[in-house]
Amino acid sequence: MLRFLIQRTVIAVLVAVTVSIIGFSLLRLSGDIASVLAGETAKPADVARVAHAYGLDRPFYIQYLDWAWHALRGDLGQSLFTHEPVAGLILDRIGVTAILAVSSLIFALVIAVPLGVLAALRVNTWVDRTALTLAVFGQAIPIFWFALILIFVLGVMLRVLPISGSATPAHFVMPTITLGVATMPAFMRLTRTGMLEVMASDYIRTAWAKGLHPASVIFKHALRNAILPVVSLSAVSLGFLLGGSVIVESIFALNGIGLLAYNSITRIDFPVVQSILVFLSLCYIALTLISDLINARLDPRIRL
Amino acid sequence: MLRGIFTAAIAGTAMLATPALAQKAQDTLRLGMLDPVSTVDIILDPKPETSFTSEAVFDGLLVYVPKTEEFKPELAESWTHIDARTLEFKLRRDVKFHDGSPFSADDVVYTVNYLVDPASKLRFGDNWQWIEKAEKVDQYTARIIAKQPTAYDLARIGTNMPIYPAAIHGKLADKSEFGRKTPIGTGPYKVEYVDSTKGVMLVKNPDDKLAAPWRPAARIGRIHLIPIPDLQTQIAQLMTGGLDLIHEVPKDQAEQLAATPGFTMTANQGVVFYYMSLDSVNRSGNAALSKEDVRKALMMAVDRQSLVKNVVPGGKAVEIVDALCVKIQIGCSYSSNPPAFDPAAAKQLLAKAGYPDGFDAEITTFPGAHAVGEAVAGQLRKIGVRASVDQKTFVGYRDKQREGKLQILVGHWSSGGLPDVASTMTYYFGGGPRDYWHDKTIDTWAAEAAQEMDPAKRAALYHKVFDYVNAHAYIMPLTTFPSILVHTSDLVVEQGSLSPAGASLDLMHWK
Repeated sequence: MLRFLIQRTVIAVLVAVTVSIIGFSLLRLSGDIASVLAGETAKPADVARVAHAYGLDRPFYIQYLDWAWHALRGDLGQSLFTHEPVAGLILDRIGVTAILAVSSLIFALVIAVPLGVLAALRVNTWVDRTALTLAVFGQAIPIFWFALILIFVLGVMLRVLPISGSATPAHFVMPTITLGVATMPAFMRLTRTGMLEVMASDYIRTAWAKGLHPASVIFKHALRNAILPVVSLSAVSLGFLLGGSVIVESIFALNGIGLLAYNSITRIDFPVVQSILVFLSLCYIALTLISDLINARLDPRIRL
Repeated sequence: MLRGIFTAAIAGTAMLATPALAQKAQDTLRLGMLDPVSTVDIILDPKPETSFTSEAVFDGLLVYVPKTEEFKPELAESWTHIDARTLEFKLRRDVKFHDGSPFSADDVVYTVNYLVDPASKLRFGDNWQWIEKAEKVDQYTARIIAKQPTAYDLARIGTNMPIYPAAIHGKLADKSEFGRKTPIGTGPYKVEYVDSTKGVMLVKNPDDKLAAPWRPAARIGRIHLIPIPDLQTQIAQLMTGGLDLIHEVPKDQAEQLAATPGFTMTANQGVVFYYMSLDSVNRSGNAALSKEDVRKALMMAVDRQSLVKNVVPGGKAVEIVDALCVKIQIGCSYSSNPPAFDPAAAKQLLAKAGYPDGFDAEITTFPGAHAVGEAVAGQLRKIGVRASVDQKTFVGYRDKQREGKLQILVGHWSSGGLPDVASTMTYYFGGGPRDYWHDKTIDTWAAEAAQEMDPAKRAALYHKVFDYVNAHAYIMPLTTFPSILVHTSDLVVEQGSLSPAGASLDLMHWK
């Protein structure tokens, strides 16, 4: 197990370094940041002055090594536009994104798992078809449109929920529903498929034959096995959700990582985008590592 | 499309419901900001949202009043040119910063020298590179010395030059903290807080000594600038009483909202206008545009009246522009117009130039000009020009421009908010990446005008430039580009702001 842990950790570090290099390269290729910083009235000499002042006229690899060296020491630099420390920007926003991510994941699981179980137990009935329709709805509807519909109905017509901001728990209800509905279908389908497979297995047939209570068969014997892939998917989904939904955070004015990333990308704020990229890749890597370790613990064959 | 439907639905619902009440009773104005405001200091983060806050919190030495087309005092009582390079300012003696500390020449000298210092690493530092230094003469007299005679010196000093308290700003190792943590100015509003989530809260400055007709005192108790990055959400908040004013609203949505009881649209024209520029020196590889007759034919195909009526929002504030300037700008002098709209004659001119079947042309646009670019493309197609549109982000457009790939550009130009045409000359001409004409005649006249201290002689030089540009069909000015604000009907937004935000907080008050 220790050898497996070391192997996975080394791979995780290599992935993080690779992501940072690729991200840095792509960002540098995406446009001339000095001319944007210098503004629309700037003359070529002004652009050159800005490039020099911000160190953008140095060779690419020097810029990367400089960034990496400072990042390793915890200094992620400053925003090129607002001059705020990048670490502070991310720390200020991670709370909002974490609340949204966890609440959306819980919302999705609370809806998806029972629905998946029900659909599997009532396969090919109206219950199953309704569950699958809901899953298709969640996958197909554009997030922004669903968010606007919620705002229109709950915020404008009924006026029961606040439309934007993050001041109270009520402010997170609509964003959670929006993101949760988009996340739910995969869990629902996975639960349904897993339950269908497990329910057809010999040991479940034996459990029924022994006259066990249906709740015991379904939840104690079947669901415990069927839900294992859902646990793995949850870890990956949490990584996705921690990346923040740009659209959801933008529409509901939640000042999270996704919105920060969007604002920074639109004006090519290199230090902020680069740091968010590495931060999110580290989240993914950590969650995937945890998921791998859990799976390895549950299934010894994976360690081989 | 979907978002337009959303706006219509919300506006319809709002019509049926009780009109949303503004915060007039609480004397609190709430503005929706599309871009977050993380500092109130426009020098550190120059953008329209910051101009709202900076103009409210800080004062400059003087200000240009477009209504009377003259400079008026703010922190300076008076000013005079000691010589062609030196401006001397007599300063107000009764002004205090928001923290109660007195204002003096030290603050002016400190601020100007900070702006000029390359070590300050300011993004728009080129705005101040014409200044050599500032000097203190006595406690209430300061001088600003230019590197060379600079005809637009007052215009530049009167545009986005906030005066900082030297004792506070000077002590900060990280100057960016000033606008976030200790934003102390002399302006009509004080800062209560700057918060990346909650936004910016401004409160009336009760000790304001600078009130004047051209720079009113605060007339609203509290102003809350709330970051909401999605326009549809802003509209929903406006309709449900969560906001009192939103800006940067597209034409169709602004008109829908303005038709809703309890809401009004205000269009304010500053110095921004739309234009269509044509590559006359074949940098982009479209040789047809090198021919003057072709360029004139394209201009004759553009129906600017239709753009005014159907495309550009702002109602009566939208007007046709005939030269590369807006009338209220210093130096905006001309006597010619671009070729008049005449599609039939345009076709004939194209045929005469050797393109009876038209030719392929690509129009590039950047944010804010996409709709106008599409409309112009449609008009060019009517005379046989196979016009396509390449909608770019601002960064993408700048890259394409620098690479010399712009055949036709439909864009808008703000003059950087400057009430003087000087920045227009350096923007378009002078041999840089933006220069697609390489005309030494223009460069010579523009350089001469930039240093001509006699206003009449200077205007005559610009007159020659603008008429020359029209005569050679280099760039076609299209229409004005007013800022559109939609707000509750009990709020008054007075005209007269040249702010990039399209309005100034000190020009707003309740009915």
